[in-house]
Amino acid sequence: MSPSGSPDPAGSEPTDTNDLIPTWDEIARDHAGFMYSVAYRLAGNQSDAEDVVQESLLRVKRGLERYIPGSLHGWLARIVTNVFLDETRRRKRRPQTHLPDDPDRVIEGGPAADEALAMVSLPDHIQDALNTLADEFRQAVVLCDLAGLTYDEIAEQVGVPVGTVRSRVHRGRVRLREALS
Amino acid sequence: MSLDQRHSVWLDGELETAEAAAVEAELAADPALAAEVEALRSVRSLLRERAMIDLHSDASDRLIARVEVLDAAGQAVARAPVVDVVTRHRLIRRFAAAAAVFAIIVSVIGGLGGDTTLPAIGDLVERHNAAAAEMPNEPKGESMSGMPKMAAEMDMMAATVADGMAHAVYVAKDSSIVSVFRLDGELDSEALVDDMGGSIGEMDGHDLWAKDIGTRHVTVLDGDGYVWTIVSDVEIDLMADLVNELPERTPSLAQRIRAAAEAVIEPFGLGS
Repeated sequence: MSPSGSPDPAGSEPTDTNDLIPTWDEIARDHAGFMYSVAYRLAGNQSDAEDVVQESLLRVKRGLERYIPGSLHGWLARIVTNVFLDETRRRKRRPQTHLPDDPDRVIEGGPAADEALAMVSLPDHIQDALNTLADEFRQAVVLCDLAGLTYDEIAEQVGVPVGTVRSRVHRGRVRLREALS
Repeated sequence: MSLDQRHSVWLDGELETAEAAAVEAELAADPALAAEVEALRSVRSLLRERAMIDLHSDASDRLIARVEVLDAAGQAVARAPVVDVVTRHRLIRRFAAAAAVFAIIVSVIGGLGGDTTLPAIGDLVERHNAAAAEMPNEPKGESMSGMPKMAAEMDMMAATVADGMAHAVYVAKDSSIVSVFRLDGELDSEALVDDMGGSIGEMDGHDLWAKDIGTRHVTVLDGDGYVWTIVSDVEIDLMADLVNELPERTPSLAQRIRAAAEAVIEPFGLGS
């Protein structure tokens, strides 16, 4: 038996030896699916995931010159995670309760089916299982196993010690295994 | 031995060599523990291999269009705060009004030359407020036939030219009021930031400045010789969602928006 080695998240990660910096257009067209996947697995719903991806792409557009050729998915995952955590913190600071101005016409938030960005086949047992985890465990597992961040990177992103990340990843996986069984 | 976090760390390849060797020895000696670790490995693999989500084929185009508009509008953050519960009808009307504003902004790029102009934002907001308070009951009267669907969501209510400044007032179907001011000159957006704060952006190579002042959303755009100031109740950051609904389907996003904008501006002689 041997460990799985360095993180290798799903998707077509560009090679590290490619020293060409992609254009924003290329990133948006070729890697929006990866960004959406991370955002959706973190947020747990399409509407929030779309907001996160949109803001993330805006940050990519404005910060592309700071990208150092290497793991493009790692860089994108960190941006998506930052946006998601910013939004989570903002909501905690300022809970939103929007009242409808026309109660008879109230519909649930989120895009209509024909407007959704993603082709999510429902029921999604993976997301259902992820949603059973507490936020901190879900974030740790998604960032490690889907986004492919190292423990150090997750610790820096989330703002907790590496030991806490190790614990959260492990406990998250154990609980996810139970939820999937 | 029982399953603990060392085993996840080992799976991730983040254990030191000696510690990894110890774990491997444990697993070799304990088939039950090894089976549990394999179950964890399966969970890990499931996320890596099955958790990716495919986007609709046109999703990237829509994302690109939204982000380009947001970027052009100088929005430092993306969309408005997530709307948890909203009436879709109202949202569509607001989008429609926002689209018309955006159409106006883009259409006016391409005016005449002139000196640097720094709009007196406070004064223009006051003029907007005064115009809103004196809003006539009926539209100004110019024909709106042939207008694009979105532009038809707004009626021209008043238009004045005084002291070298044109001022047009529109009202949307949801009663949102939009003022468009035109001054001769070129925008010094950095000077505006120095004076007023706010954020700056760029659209098709033209400077753009935006700021919320009270409940009013103010956007100032440099239009090759004109400085256009738009004061409205409409949230500019909602405009992005409307781009796909603009009526013309020409290859260029800007062309589509311009096509809608020309129909808004032309009847009132405010175009270039």
